[in-house]
Amino acid sequence: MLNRPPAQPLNAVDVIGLAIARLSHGGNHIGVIYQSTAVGLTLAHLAWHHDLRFERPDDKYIWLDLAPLDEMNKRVSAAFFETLRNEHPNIPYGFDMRGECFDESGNFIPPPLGKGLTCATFVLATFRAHGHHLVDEETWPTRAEDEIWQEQILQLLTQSAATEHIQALENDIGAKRYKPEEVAASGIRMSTPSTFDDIKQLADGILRELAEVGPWQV
Amino acid sequence: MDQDDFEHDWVFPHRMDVSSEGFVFFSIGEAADRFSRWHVGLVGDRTISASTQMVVCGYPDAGPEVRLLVPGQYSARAKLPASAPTNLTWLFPETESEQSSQAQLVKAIAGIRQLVASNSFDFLRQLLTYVSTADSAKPDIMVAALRAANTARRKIPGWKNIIENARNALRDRNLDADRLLKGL
Repeated sequence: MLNRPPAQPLNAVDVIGLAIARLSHGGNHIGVIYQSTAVGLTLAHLAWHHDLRFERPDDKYIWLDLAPLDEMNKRVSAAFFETLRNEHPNIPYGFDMRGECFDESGNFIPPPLGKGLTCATFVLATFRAHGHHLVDEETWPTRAEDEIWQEQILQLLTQSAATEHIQALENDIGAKRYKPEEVAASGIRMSTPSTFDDIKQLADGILRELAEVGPWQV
Repeated sequence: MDQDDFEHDWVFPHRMDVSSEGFVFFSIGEAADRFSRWHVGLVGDRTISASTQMVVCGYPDAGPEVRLLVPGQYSARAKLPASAPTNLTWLFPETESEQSSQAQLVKAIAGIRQLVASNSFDFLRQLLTYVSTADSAKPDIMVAALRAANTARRKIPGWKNIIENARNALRDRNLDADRLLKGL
């Protein structure tokens, strides 16, 4: 199910997959790993506010092949991420992913003040743009614990985001949160879109594996 | 109508693309009647339709312009909109492999996005209809093109028919069309 380097190196990914790591502050982080024929194995991830990165992944990530995608769609999806790497959009951090994130021509839409993506919704939104609905968003719950996390992120963002963005983002405290381990779990199931109930146990299993690997100092 | 009618510059009213394979893909929109009648007269017994293939004897030599020649018939020149892509090699890459390379897929995606960005939705309809049924279209390019157009699906006329045509074409090639096109 999950692959853990160095025994299962990231480079063994079948064209495209998901990679997840535990960070030192206790949160988890997710991105898309794919084979770029131009630059080699690449991790595409929204590291932070206006900080979309395409870089070689660290071995602290555990990873999985994308089960919902057939061989051809894996190659096509990798090409989409390669296109995104070439365009390198400037994506703000935000909690509310409702609405379209990419315009008709596939370009990231500069969102209204306070809106943006998390590392997890970046993954969902990019796949959704080309027709791969990994999760059924309607089935996601709003949870009190997510508001606490959002408050914490808001505090961290004050160090790097504009005051106007922070103020607008406060309005989205309480928005649905898609946790990195939940998004990763949606990549394990062959069937899409996954409902919240479909992935809950899988996500808990991923959390246990991340706890074994331990945090990554960033 | 004689040959001279076709030897002077003629402002083509619609988008036209030329592939390196040497055929022209015409995009004929609502104002195409004039064009169709002209070329029915020009080529005699050939029927000109939205995806008629014609031999190209020359390539753009003066900006966005191509010269056409139907063998044994007349030549004509057509000017293209400056913003139009001038060839379709990105959609029909020349390769012996059954699989397209990542670079070829990236080019197909970029080409479709460029057409969406230029609001060429009717042309996209014709192009995607052609790609989704042409024997020369590779399945992975077909899937990439359709997925690249997904964000503009509401503006592309006949989107559902295009997907259904693609589904049938993929099935004809013994591929799992439902899985390949899931979500579109």
